Amino acid sequence: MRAVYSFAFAAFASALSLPAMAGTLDTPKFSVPGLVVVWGADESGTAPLVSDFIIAPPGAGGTDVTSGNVASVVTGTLTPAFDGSGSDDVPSRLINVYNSPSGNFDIDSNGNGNTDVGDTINRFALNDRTNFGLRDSEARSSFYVASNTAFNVDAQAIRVVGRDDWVLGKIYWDMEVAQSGTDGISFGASAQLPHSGGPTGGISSVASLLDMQTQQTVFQGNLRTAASPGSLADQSVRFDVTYVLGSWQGYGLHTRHTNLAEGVYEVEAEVVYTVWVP
Amino acid sequence: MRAWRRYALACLGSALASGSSSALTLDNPNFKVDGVIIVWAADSSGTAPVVADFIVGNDQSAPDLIGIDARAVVTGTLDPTEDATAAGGMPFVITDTTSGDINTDTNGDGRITEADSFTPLGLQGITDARVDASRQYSSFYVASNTAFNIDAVSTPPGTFLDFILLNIIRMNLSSTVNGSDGGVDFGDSAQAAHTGGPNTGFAAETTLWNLRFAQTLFTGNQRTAATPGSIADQSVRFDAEYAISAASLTGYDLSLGTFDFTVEVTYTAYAP
Repeated sequence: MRAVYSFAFAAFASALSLPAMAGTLDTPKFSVPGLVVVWGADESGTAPLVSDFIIAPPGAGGTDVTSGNVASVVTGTLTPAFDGSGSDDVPSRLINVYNSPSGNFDIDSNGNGNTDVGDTINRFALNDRTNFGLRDSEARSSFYVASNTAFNVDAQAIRVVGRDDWVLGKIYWDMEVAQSGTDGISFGASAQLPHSGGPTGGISSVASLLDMQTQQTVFQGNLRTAASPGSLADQSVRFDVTYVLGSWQGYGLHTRHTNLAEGVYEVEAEVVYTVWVP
Repeated sequence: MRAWRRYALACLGSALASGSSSALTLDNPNFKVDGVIIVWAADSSGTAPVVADFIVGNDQSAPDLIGIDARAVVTGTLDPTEDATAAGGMPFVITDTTSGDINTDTNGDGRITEADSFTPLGLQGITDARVDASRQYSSFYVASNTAFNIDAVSTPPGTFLDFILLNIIRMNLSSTVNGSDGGVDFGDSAQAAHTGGPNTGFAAETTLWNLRFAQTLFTGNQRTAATPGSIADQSVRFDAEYAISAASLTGYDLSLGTFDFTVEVTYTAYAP
């Protein structure tokens, strides 16, 4: 620091020696803008693919300069999570019988993961606590982010299939961040979590997709993901989203609980995540 | 100038012819045109073109009669550099995608902005992002009836990053005799400020670090005004190029985060 001050003095003294005449000020400016790279798959199944490339000059927000959007992948794989074909994307059709006198059991005799016309079951006893429920009523999907700056994530849910918007309230939502792993490609070896609070730091308390009918900020980061030199994948973290079909019973989320009174319904929503630099 | 001499001879002749030894009245009407160096570009408020420096005199003590400094403009425009460089940043190169290396500066303006656009990139484990070479160009205009020099000095570093950047940013000064920028024609009645031509009289390329002490970047030997004309007609444009080479940026990695570096360079035109 002492050297810096001596330079400053030397330059000042030198400036004083200039002829006291006209000055033309020039301010060359070089900046490395904020960069947030989002990758996953595309809807055709190509992965890994960088489809969001958000540049953010200082104080200017951010702009995605790529022409496509990222499709999320099934967590732990590079397989596109949703192909847009309908509710079959979410394996939520396996019905379980709970609390019968003979215990809990699946209604999936053919083992295809769904309860459908190919299944047969024996008669079974019931008591006053026996009910139906859904097993595997959970879907997990992910996308990856590498950045040299802190960023936020907004989300908005749009009902695609369903009787009314209230069904969005049946899909509960949660998010956390995985720092590293291997999903067909290694990620995170040179990364840090994008929030100093850890894997769930900065995640909002949004409960269900009903709360996302208008765009919500679901993650507010305070760190870049790139922690040390490395490739984009090395400097990426994975955002893991969990969607659960269930009911909130006052003392917890019952993913197994479904009520026959709710009738038959199908719900599908498109959730758009927007990464931006605050 | 010839008229002035006739006046002097007439007065002397009159004195000799009077024959009187009691009174002698000497008169010396003196007309002199001092050296004038006019520098124009923008002002600090962004107004352009404006004459912001008006130097009258024949040596280094010549004062600037206008109390403000000119603000350089982006070469080829009349946009002040301070405003024009605020948008965008240094471009990135994404290396080793499944389609090879991709430069994000798709419109070739030297920066990455929302005006750039490219298609999704196939990612590999070795795909990386680095900052690419970057250049900036700025200019100011000078009209003069005398030869002049131009000195430059940069602001000293305040941080270690400033020190690094001052060292890797190279700058070069040149001139353009005529052209049209922002709807204003210049140079129609001008000549290069050096008899060797528009590329003569300039110091070798240097770094902003070297400019922490004032350096003479241009040494002229003739006026810019060649024939009658307006100030713009008799002006030449001085072009500053600031460059960071790709080789100087090989150490950049996303883990270094963002940076925003602005240095102030002051150019001083003066009669030597």
